[in-house]
Amino acid sequence: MRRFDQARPFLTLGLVLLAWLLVPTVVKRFARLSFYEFQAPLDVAASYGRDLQDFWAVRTRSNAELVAAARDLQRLNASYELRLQDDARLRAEITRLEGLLRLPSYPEFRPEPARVVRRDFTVWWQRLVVRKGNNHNIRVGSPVIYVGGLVGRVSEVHATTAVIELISSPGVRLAAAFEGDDRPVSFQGGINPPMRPAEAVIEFVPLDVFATPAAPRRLVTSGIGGVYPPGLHVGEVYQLEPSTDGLFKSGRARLDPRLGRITEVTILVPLDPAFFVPSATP
Amino acid sequence: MPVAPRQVLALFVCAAVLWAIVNQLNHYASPWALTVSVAGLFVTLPALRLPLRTGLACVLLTGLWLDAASPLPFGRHALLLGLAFCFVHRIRDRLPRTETIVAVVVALFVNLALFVVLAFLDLGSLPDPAAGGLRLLADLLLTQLLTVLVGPWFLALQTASLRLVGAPPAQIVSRYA
Repeated sequence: MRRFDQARPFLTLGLVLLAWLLVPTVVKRFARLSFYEFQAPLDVAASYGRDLQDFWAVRTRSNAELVAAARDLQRLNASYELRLQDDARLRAEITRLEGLLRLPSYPEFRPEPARVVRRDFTVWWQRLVVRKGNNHNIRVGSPVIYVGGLVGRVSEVHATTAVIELISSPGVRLAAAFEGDDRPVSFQGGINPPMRPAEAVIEFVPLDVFATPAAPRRLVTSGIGGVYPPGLHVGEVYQLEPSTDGLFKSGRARLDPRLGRITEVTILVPLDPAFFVPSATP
Repeated sequence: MPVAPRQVLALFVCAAVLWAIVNQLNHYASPWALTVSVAGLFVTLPALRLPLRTGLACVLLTGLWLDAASPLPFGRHALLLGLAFCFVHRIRDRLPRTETIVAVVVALFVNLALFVVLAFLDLGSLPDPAAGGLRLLADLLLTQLLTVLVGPWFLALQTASLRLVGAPPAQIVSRYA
């Protein structure tokens, strides 16, 4: 009797587990989504709280400081105007050449800026929650960028929020290329030591490519696979060594430290519905 | 409403509050690549003070709440917290379980056990297990420090919440008194 009493908690848990296994997947999915949607306002409210805090912090600045900031912004806007005109000219040129050479055109994206609600950077996963979701027509699989280059891709979309899986996450693999070299290499995130920027593993690097800590090589997206547009900055390769098979090199890439402090991202929502990946929400 | 659901709801709300605070802390700690997790505190009071079914329901509900926000299979946190609950519940009669310090020490051991289990299950899947192990160690140290700091407050919050909803845990005749 005493032995049964001691085992009673485990028997009860076993029964619960058995019942859980028999619950249909659709019920579990519904429960998960419901729980998530209950949690989302907590994070979003905290995010708005931070924005308000920043607003009041800026209000403490003197008028002279604000005028100086506005003047700097005006200069920046003027230079962006020039860049936009140049961009329009280059786009027209690309379209003309595509038509002339009958080349397939690059996928078109709609840029959707979004504030980061929460950064969730554990050793097992690296994710961001942003303040836009189904309400802004965000789609699963859309690439996400920021001022430092590639952030990752949208992995879950909810009613008013979306979850982004970062390139520093262990589960992320993508085809990258060295700047100025169109041969693809394999990139896998997931090295996240404490107090240091995230790193990634690079594999299948051609033997004639060299990188050292003194002369690192810039890594960009290759555009292969169609998810990420080509030419987005991914990281800096600082170490390359011949792999065990001797056919390729493998090494390490350092990711931008700003990835850990990211507060705003731009989601590139593909305009072509064929690029949409079916919802990956478990 | 009967006492058991009130106890479950009160402790669940407390857990959700602590979870939200810890999430904010992790948000601010992300530039240093550090994370804290206070899962042990979610298990301690239900396992030490509540009846089996009520405590287990509370812990499983909290586990599902954690699962909803993580990319893990739905139910994994619930299972791990449920197992931790069972172990603590089984040995609780041998402990002076009304003491706050005992509850905090139990939370520390639960945290340690959860970190070891997760490391055992998943560390091999990381591209660099050595760096992952170092990160886990740093996270564990920070987690234990936070547990010691906020543990007494959180246990007091849980006890006060139970009193507030009119469902305090049953009085225990302590053999250590």
